[in-house]
Amino acid sequence: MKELKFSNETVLIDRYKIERFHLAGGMQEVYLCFDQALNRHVVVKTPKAGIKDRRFKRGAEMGARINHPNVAATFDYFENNTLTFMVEEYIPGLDLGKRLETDFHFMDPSLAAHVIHHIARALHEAHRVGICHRDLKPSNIMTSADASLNIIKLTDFGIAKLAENEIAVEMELFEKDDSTLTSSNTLLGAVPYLAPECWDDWKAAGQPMDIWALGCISYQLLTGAPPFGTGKQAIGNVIKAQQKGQVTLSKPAWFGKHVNTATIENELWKIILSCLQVEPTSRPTAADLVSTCNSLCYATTPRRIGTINRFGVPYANGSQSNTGNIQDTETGDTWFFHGSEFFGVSLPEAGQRVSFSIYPGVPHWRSAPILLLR
Amino acid sequence: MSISIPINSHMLLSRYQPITQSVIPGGFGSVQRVLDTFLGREVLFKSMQDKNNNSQLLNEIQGLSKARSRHVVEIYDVVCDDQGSVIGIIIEMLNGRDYLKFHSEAKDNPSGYLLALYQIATGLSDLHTANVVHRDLKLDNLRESTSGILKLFDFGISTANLDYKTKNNRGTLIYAAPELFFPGAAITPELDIYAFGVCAWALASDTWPKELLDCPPQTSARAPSIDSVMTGLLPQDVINLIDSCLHPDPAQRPKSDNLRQQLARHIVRENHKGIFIQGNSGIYELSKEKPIVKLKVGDLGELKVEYDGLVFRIVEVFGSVFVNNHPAVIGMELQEACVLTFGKFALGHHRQWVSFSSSHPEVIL
Repeated sequence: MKELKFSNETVLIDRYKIERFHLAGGMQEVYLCFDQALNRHVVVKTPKAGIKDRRFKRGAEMGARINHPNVAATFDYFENNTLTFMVEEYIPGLDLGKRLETDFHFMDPSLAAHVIHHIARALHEAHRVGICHRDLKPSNIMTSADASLNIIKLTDFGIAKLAENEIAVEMELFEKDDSTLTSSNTLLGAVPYLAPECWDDWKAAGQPMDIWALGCISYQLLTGAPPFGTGKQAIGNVIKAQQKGQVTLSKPAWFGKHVNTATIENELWKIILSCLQVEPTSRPTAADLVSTCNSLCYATTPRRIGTINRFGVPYANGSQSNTGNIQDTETGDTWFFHGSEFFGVSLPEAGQRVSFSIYPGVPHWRSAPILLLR
Repeated sequence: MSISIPINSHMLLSRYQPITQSVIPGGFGSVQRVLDTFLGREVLFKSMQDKNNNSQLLNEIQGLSKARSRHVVEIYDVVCDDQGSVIGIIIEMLNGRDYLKFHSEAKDNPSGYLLALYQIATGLSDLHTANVVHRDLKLDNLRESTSGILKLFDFGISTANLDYKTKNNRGTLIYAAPELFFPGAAITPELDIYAFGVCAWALASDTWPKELLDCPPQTSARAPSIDSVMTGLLPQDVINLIDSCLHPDPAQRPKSDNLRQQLARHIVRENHKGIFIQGNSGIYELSKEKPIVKLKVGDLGELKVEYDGLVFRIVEVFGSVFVNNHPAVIGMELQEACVLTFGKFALGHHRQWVSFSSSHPEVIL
């Protein structure tokens, strides 16, 4: 790895003390800092060496224009001849991309609806003030570390603008030679979520590209993978859909297996298909989506984490019950569950890590829905 | 003698440029609209009129940075003079509506009234969780952001220390709880709850009940119920909740978190869905349109459940019916997810099971 711009304990402008390096994206380095003036943790983002320019400031200004609980707040910006950085709200947790890698195979309909609803609200607010995200993907969505994903905030509104020229150049190169898409590429992370019109003219694509991206993310939440794949496969699939004039997707394999979530499954599927219309003007606006999401009914009881202790109690006739119990990671309590409430890539079995809500019952409280975690 | 401190380039690094030279005096501070030239946005510069009141400003800084909430104004910066002394703070500019005239629309918009109260309660709950008492909650200190989120501001006399004893009460008088009229009054979250109750009145009516104007308040009698102005427009438990905020005994007032939770329930009133499933096919749905369902399973048992707009409640039981293995009784609420068992335990697999789940729209502002 190249040398980082700031080392731990460095204090920027007598105020922001670097606590640790967090991560580096294609265009910027991100640090966890302590704001000594206001006694709070913040995130400092600084453009990578060599790409400092006015676009970084424009990006910070764009973020600063959106003031909404579902968008990470922009606190401060500083630049002089040697130093450029912006300061953003710190959200303890992980980005949604990491959560999908480390926690979730997929999300049950209620949890997915909650996440989609919050993202739609953030997009609505951005679009209302005339700002398009342009690089909406799971890694640009911060989530609190809890099992309920209580806090969901979009970040990096300016980053796509900063990467605009790089992406345009990479797209041009890719068209000439499709071997140019490599892991060092700025474009790579964005590809699975890019709307068809982006391939025609990335700079001209507007707010509907965010809606397409939300459709892709929604599909990924419910299945674990983006709808068109990743890398070159995704590009090929989206272009095919564009040529056909429509997207053909199969519902998640587990849809229809839980009678009590059939309604919300269908509603989510309709939302996904509406966002993934090839024609940008046929997609709903963010305001339409918020209105649709506002009418969705889903379970919002806080989720807990636990491990399945056992599943299937043997009967005298040799068969097994479709029930089991879960040990709560935090309290050590034992909760009952029924197999029909289980959402997973395989059948329930002992040792699986799961999230769930609990409800009073005897002899054990009952848990539902049970979502298999990684 | 207090003096106002308008922004000048000497003090403000040239980063924050005054948009207007007019300084709005208020309470103990003055407020000026300025442009943050680094981020290209309008913000507010708030300074203390009297430098001796700097402790108030430090209180505000502490409160705002400690208790971040979607319903509390955002603090961005602290401005110091050449000696490093704090002279002011930079806070979020709230460009949305205020609530000073909301009373004229409250009766036509009871759901907007509840939503405003819910947002105030959520702000208070976030503050109280961080051990911050607002101390100056009043209608003048509420305003919406451009995205329509109600926020609390003006923490000039807030404290982050619950044991702090106030020497003199500086809050606006009508919002001051009765206990503040006695020497040695402690600064407690219950003061904010009382002020919340007064806000509920101010949002509903442009005249105060005379009992609130007593000194101390409500010495002649308890204030009338909020139902006397919002006649028939609020559910009884919301009326009771609001009325209890004005209880002369601080211990009888609800906690802010309870206020938030109770009001949140009413915001999604009549928007719940409940689904009963028997086996893989039998589905019965309960909602505002279909508020009653009767489940009869052979000779094993019978259950009638009613949706009252907030909860799904058992209103009739015959035979042996259990909810998550608890015997079903009249008045019992069905949880968001539960299983109903029809038939006694001794019947083993001859019993029948019906699962129930309910859901509602999530309140996202």
